Amino acid sequence: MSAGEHLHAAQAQRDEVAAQTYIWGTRVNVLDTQQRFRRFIENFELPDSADSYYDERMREIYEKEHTHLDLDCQHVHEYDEFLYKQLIHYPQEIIPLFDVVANEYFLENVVAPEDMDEDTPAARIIVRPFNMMDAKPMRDLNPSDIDKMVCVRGMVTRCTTIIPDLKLAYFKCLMCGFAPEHVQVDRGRVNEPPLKCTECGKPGTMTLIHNQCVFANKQTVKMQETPDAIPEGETPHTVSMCVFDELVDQAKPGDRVEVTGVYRAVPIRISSTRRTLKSVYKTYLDIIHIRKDAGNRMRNTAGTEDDEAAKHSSAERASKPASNQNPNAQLEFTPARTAEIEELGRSPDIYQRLVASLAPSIWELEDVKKGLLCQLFGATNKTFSGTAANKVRGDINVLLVGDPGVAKSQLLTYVHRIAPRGMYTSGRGSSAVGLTAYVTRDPESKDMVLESGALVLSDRGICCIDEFDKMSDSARSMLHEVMEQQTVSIAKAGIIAVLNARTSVLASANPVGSRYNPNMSMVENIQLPPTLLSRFDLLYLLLDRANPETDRRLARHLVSLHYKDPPQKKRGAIEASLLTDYVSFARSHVQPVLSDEAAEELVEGYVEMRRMGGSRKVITATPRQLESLIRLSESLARMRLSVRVDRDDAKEALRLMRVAMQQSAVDPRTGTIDMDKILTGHSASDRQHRKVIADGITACLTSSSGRLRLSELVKMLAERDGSMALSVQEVRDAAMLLVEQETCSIRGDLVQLLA
Amino acid sequence: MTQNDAVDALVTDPLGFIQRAFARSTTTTTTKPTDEDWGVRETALELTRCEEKFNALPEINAHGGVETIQNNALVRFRGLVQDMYEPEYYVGAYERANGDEKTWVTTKYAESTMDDVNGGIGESVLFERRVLYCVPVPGERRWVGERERATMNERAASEDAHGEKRAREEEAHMDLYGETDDSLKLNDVVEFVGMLYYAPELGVEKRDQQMEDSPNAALYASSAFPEEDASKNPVTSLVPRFHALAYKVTSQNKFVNSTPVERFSETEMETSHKLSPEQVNSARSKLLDILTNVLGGDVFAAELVLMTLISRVHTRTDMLTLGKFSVNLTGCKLDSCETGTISEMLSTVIGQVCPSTAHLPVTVPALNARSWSPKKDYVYNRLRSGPLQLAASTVLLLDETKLEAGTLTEIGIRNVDALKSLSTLQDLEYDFQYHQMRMPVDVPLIILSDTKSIIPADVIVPLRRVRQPKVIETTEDELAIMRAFVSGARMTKHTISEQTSADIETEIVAARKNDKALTQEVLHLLLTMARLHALALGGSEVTKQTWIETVEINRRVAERNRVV
Repeated sequence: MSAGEHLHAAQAQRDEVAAQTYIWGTRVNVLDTQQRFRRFIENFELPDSADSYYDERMREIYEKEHTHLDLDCQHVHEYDEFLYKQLIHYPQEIIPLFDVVANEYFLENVVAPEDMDEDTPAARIIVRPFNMMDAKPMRDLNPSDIDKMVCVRGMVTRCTTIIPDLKLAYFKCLMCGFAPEHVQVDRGRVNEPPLKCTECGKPGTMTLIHNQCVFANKQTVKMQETPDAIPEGETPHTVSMCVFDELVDQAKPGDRVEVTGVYRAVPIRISSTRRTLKSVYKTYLDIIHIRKDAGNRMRNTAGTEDDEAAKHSSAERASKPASNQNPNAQLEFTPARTAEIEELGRSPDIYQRLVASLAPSIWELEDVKKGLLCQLFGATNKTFSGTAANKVRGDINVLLVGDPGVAKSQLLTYVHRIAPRGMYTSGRGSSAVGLTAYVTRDPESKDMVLESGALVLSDRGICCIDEFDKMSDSARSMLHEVMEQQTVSIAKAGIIAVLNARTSVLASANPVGSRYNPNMSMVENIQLPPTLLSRFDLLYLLLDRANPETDRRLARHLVSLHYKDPPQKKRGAIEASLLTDYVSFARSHVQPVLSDEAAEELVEGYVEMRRMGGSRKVITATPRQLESLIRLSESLARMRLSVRVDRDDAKEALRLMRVAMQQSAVDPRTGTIDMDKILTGHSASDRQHRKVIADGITACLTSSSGRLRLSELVKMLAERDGSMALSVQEVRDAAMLLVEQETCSIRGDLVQLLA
Repeated sequence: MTQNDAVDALVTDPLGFIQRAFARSTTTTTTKPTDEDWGVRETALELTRCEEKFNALPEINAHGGVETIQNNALVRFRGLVQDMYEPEYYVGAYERANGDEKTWVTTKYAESTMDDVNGGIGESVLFERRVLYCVPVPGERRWVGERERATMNERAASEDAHGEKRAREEEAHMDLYGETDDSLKLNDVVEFVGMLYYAPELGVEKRDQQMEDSPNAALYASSAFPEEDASKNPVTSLVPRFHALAYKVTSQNKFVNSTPVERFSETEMETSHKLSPEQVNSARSKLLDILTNVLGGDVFAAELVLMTLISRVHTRTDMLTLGKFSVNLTGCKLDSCETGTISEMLSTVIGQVCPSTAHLPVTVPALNARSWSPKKDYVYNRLRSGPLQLAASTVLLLDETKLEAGTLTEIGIRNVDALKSLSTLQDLEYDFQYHQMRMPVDVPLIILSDTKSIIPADVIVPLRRVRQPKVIETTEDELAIMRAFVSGARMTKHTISEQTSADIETEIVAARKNDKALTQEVLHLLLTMARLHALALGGSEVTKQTWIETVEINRRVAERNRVV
């Protein structure tokens, strides 16, 4: 037999042994499994590519000097279902076999021959399976999963410090100094050296030499169920996880992760002296792969929107594989949830269903709810580059004004709970500090730290401010900046900072006299600075008017709610958690663009609105309204998950705007819409009215000594013209007009004609 | 063996009974035993139907300390589910070698350890069980369950005396077996039947020492989170373990008006008191008399307090909680010369008639001191309870009379927010640090303050005192019917006729025409009050007359607020 034949025969013999080798206690045939995996690596390709996917990955590993191969279990399942089942049932046995095959393939096909030398490690690649066919809810783990591979989602709550974990143990004989090769530690177990030294034969002399051993990093991590997975009325479950080497410190407290690992149970020993085991087992996961969730922290829209901005600004945007195939891809929603959301977006009556789902217990107020929906979905932020570098906010601000007891607070609370990043604060008692940001001294480190207030915390979300009218002036002035520049500036205790506060504001205010006076305008009723009012895209007036028709329906609704049937869910209503996800999804994935016909519609509508006041020289719409209209129509398109703003969106935006204006900007004296009411606080007819009074004052002053008290003026004006029943305030306002014209001066309550 | 014999066997030797039941079902099979109940559960349920035998079981709450109970004896226990732990895996059955013969034994329903790690144990199988952390119902009054104890034999009576002081502190780890349904929720009041185990295997220090000493600790679970392990597996002398055979979610109110057997069998939630109209009248007038005396002679305020006591959340929708009713009595600050405080006296008398009450002083230091709502402690991996974690129907009395100006810290502000949400929505936000979780609660709220409270209440009434507040004497018989009346009124299901609802609707429409202040919120309140007013009169039907009277009550509230 030649040497070649001999070698061949030896190989054949080995193969035969391997072919019959089953891993003890399992049905895993070593050779069969290795061959199957080899075929998989060589042949598996993605549908749109003609190359072997894993060959490419290994070349990547070679170039980037990585050490692990991420193995998509769904690929395995697609290619070889049997292999997939074996992998899941016997991960502990199969993964090392995969490692061997992967390394063989790597050395044979990937590593350039000129790079091969003695230093080339035989085993370099570690196979890390991930993306199993189905992730198991943490609650459903049970004893039958022990030693199987499972995939679990959750949120990291605790991490230990890094613990050195023995990998290679070095033993030495204390008598003769003989030291065998390093002993491999296999998953926490050391093969102890023989009781007798193999060289000198003395018993019990082999000792572990710590500083010659090789250690790896190990960490124990606690993971808790995500809030949406917890059944109502129960506390979240947790699971312990052991992570090694590169996976250490990958997940930090607060991260949402999807982990793939082997579920383990070990007995707890209660006493080393008594040979007794407690019958209770401790369970944990040996982690193979960690995949992080989007935005790291609790789900919010900030992360993705910021990413979006970053992508736009940087030219470099490499084409990446679809997110599901990328092991490091950040996952946001489960594929099932995404499908559910998209399905919902396709339903033809989605707008109606959204309206029905928003605060269903609040009676009627359909249009207000529609406005709030626009706010929830928001519009796109626009950044113009070049000479006219400018940013236009996409956040929609809404103000609700109305009588007490008309469920304003309830609406706010509801939005706060639905909004992905909602903050709730009350104008009363919330100083400027609580709203924006403030500097405090950290109780532990004694350092000055910047603490965020409600507005900063709701960056990319909605800040709900109840009792807006009760807010202090300084807090309101902060809001000016927030609502136009979308930032909060702070200069205090040596810290100067401009913080982002890209937040939508939803505010509610009570009228001055606690009840709305229909004879006065909106501005007079709430007495908020007009400059601030103009920053709201939609102003709604919620009045509680008695109307036998609606009252009867309301009464029936309430009586049956209290005394008869439990309230029925409205048909087609969307569950709150799905609604939140839907909003998040729409905000981060859908960036609608105005279509030509929608733009046309908006322009026409806007021109018409301006024309309404044309003959009477009153302003019925300003460019601010046009901006608002664009925002509203964009958000309406988002509700349908549409990337295109249609004509219908524009029409609905115009309608919503008209409804809101009808309520808020109507001049009670003329019954027409007058934007000046909101912009300056005075309507055109107001100005006319003031001028008449001012003329009267001049007449009174000239007819008398030229000096009169305000109260005297009120009396004299009433005597001159019976229709002029005026308040002191009105007279003072009119007199101020004369002061501006420099015909008069006011000192105290004394009005004096200037010479 | 007849069912009756089986019940007897279970009562006298529970563990033996379980082992025999297990042996009977495993001898027939050659495969590994599976996680079943081998008929034990059915026998336990049968026991809950036997009036005499079931009543005779010792009740831990009453017994003053677990020391008086034998290990692994069958007992009853009622408690509040304060925290839920992870499911536990344990060796449910294993093969014990006895010479050449090997027999399967089970450790289910027992605090078990396996002997002879290396020698005797052959094969074993893992089972799973649920672990709950239960405490006696917070604020539960001592008289609750006394009626049942009185019917028990003298043995129990004699033991009652020396253990009183410990009974309040008892808490337990509750092991539940084979529960697939999710009917148990946090804060539920639950009645359990099962075996108690408390003997300490070894002390805390000893165990810690052993963890380090163990030469091949790596073989066993090494602990990365020692604090958590210690808190989850406390020595049983501190926190006894209880292995439940059967349980039933119940309510504090049922302990007044039903027997243990009734509580375990009945499925219908609503049970009324079984009082005659005369008894209802005398209970009601006596109760009003007591309350009026405590409130310095203010009958009207006493009526509103009574309505609060019998209120209960009956319907919840997304943002509405119907049935809840809270009252704020202002002007409750007593002059220094007067003895005691109204809140203390009120707490005393309410405690005499309501199964559980909580009395919290609201002051700036108290608000800043600690979180009042439960908070997850990740170091110990358990929920740290707060004073607001209360069972349904616990009357919460807030004493704001000692509140003075001061600065609230972040904790203080959160606590005030928690109280606000408790009052307006009857829910409480649990702090899980990385996220918040809202839990529904149902606690009737009474706020005593000097001026209008910082916490919104459904009704604010300035107290009109005409004499010195005092607690008047009551007889045992009077107390008994008053308790039955209050608990019964809470559980009563209200009814309304078609005609009445139509009448009320018409009234509402008419009233809104004249009164602009009649907003939705006021209407919600009126409808709630009308229901409570009907129940407070001992009936169950809301009538047109009730409605008219309720509107009148509301008018008087408004009038008082105007005058003061």
